[in-house]
Amino acid sequence: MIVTSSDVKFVVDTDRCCGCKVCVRRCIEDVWHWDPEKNCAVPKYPDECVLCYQCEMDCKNNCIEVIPQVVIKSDPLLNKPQYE
Amino acid sequence: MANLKDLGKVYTSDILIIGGGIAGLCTAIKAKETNPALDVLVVDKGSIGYAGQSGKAGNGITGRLPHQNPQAMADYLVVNGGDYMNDQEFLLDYVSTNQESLEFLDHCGVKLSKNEDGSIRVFPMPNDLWGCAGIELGSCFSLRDYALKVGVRLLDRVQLFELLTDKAGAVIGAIGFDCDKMKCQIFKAKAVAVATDGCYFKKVGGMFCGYGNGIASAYRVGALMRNAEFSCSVELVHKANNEAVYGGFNLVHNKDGVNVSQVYAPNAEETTPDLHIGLWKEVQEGRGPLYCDLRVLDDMSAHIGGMGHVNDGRMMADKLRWIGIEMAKAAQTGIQLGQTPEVTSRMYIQGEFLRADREFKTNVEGLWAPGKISYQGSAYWGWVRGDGLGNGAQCGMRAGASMAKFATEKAAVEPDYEQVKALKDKIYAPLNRPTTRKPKEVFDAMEQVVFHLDNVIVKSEKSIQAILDMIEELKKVIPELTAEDAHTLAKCHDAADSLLCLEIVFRAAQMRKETRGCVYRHIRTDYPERDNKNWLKWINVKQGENGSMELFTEDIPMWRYPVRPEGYEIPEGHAEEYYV
Ligand SMILES: Cc1cc2nc3c(=O)[nH]c(=O)nc-3n(C[C@H](O)[C@H](O)[C@H](O)COP(=O)(O)OP(=O)(O)OC[C@H]3O[C@@H](n4cnc5c(N)ncnc54)[C@H](O)[C@@H]3O)c2cc1C
Ligand code: SF4
Ligand code: SF4
Repeated sequence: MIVTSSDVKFVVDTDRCCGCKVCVRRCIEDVWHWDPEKNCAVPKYPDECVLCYQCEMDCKNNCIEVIPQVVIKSDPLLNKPQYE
Repeated sequence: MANLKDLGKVYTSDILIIGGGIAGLCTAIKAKETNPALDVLVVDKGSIGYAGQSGKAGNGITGRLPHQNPQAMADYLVVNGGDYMNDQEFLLDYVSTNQESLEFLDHCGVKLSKNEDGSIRVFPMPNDLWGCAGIELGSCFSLRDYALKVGVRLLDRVQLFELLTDKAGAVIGAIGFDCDKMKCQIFKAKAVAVATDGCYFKKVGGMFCGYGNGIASAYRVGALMRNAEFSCSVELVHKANNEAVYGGFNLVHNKDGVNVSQVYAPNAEETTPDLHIGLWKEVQEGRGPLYCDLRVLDDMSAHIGGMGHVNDGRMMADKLRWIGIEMAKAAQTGIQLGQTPEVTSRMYIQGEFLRADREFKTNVEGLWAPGKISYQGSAYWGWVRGDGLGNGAQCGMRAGASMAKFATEKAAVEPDYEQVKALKDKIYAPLNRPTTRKPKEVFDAMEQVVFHLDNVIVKSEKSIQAILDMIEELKKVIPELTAEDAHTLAKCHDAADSLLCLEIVFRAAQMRKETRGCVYRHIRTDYPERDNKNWLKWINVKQGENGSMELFTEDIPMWRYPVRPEGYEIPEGHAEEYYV
């Protein structure tokens, strides 16, 4: 399963998911939720990911790959002055 | 008779601590060790041990070497940290116990850098006024285990949004819901701490986990905010991943190879807004991209970043592993960080202005504010690198002892059913609205504010008013936000609480008509000078009787303090109290 947001792409090998829900508990921003229909964990709120990689590090079945996209979408130093 | 249990699951404890990062855990342990008979409960919206910023910090923690003098450190920080906005009595007291807080962590089983004889190894920082010890990334795992061992109760994945009060206005509990099933959870306690960290306006700041729930809930029960106008700052970051280039602020070069750090803020001891205003100029005038030359580390990059101490045991294996993963991930975006990485500025607003005293008690009876939530508000203002974790331990020791004393002496008060019911209805309201607006709309708008240097770092009446106007518009969106599950329901409240914090920052910034501050500098282009005649004052913010925001100033009692600006004269009505 591939789930993307503007900051991050999650590649999840759902076949290997054993249902331990470690990712759900370890994520500090509540990105991961259990999907009872698919019977696996899914990154339901990818927008909230802060790229700490805890879920990837702690999944014992190596199901999760977190791939950062271009993190800085707008470089503040390129912004023009707003209040001349 | 109506029973609280009809509204949700009810938990009772003597002490309730909301937030289980380093500050919450240290508070809980200290309270329990002060009086083991007390029932101490820590509640966190995440999993304790992993949750919070504390779980990701490990570059070092403030300490002191035997030859370093706390008074000299305090005097330095009044001039170079708070720019005279400090509570100098508290600051001296605070820095005097830096080393005790390390010993407390050591006692709780947290891994720290050690000398061969087993004592804590503290590395001097470049100005030799204070030091920094190594600390494991997993400090909260160790604290969690120790907390359980001494009998503290821990509850994961429950987010709290409102505080309960008795008839006299004292805090006697809190209410929220669990993050999995969204069931209402009600907490009764004699003493409550909000250790929920500050408010960081989402991840633009790279400072996660804080959405202002603790500050906003305290504000709604009458807590004071202080020094909110000094909430804005800026960090030098890798353009590849928005992560800090720790200590690299003297090594920034433009595309022509000129060291521009030395042009705008020569030989700085910290990253300052002045440097970043200069970097902005460089890029605007076509001399970007900018890069940081880390091939030869200077004292700052070696010490602050900790990489100069890798071989001496300051950087622990778990932190180095995490840094390695971050570097590898950044490389996946196609950008090698290398030794001359491209850099930019990351503006941030950190709302940490809940006012607290030396015991980290707020002005509201029964409510404490340990941890980063009260960093600006407590006005000790002694932040140096490593004082994020150091502050957590210090606050914990002080708040824990103070709460234990209070809870030992106080009788429990039963919450009022009608109050709890009204708060529950408020919390669940976004589930039942006929609208379709989402909290992301509010977060996106707030993020845009933080992206602009001339909103956050350089302010004027015009820019501040533009932001306050935007906030007024967003406040109209809040009652229309909708949710469909626990996650989105929590986000509706996070958005509302963050917006309140943003308003507090900009209302206070509008009031302070001068330029002042160092790392957290308040720059007004329309009032470019420091004004010691009119502005040696703290600005306090509170919720007024009719619910509107009220601001008032308070003279800083400089006549009691040792460090004073040149030419300072004691105002009428006061007499010299320090140099007598
Ligand atoms: C990447 C990074 C690196 C850092 N490196 C260092 C360093 O090397 N040295 C240093 O000294 N400092 C460092 N800091 C700063 C330091 O981590 C923080 O200042 C410190 O951890 C704050 O501790 P705290 O306990 O106040 O807050 P946190 O650790 O953030 O804990 C707050 C807790 O409250 C919980 N919470 C929030 N709202 C609610 C709610 N409504 N209901 C229930 N629970 C809630 C959160 O889940 C969280 O667990 C770093 C910060 C970051 C982000
Ligand atoms: S940690 Fe891995 S195995 Fe466990 S639920 Fe998550 S994805 Fe599945
Ligand atoms: S990387 Fe961190 S924030 Fe992102 S989903 Fe994984 S655990 Fe959550």
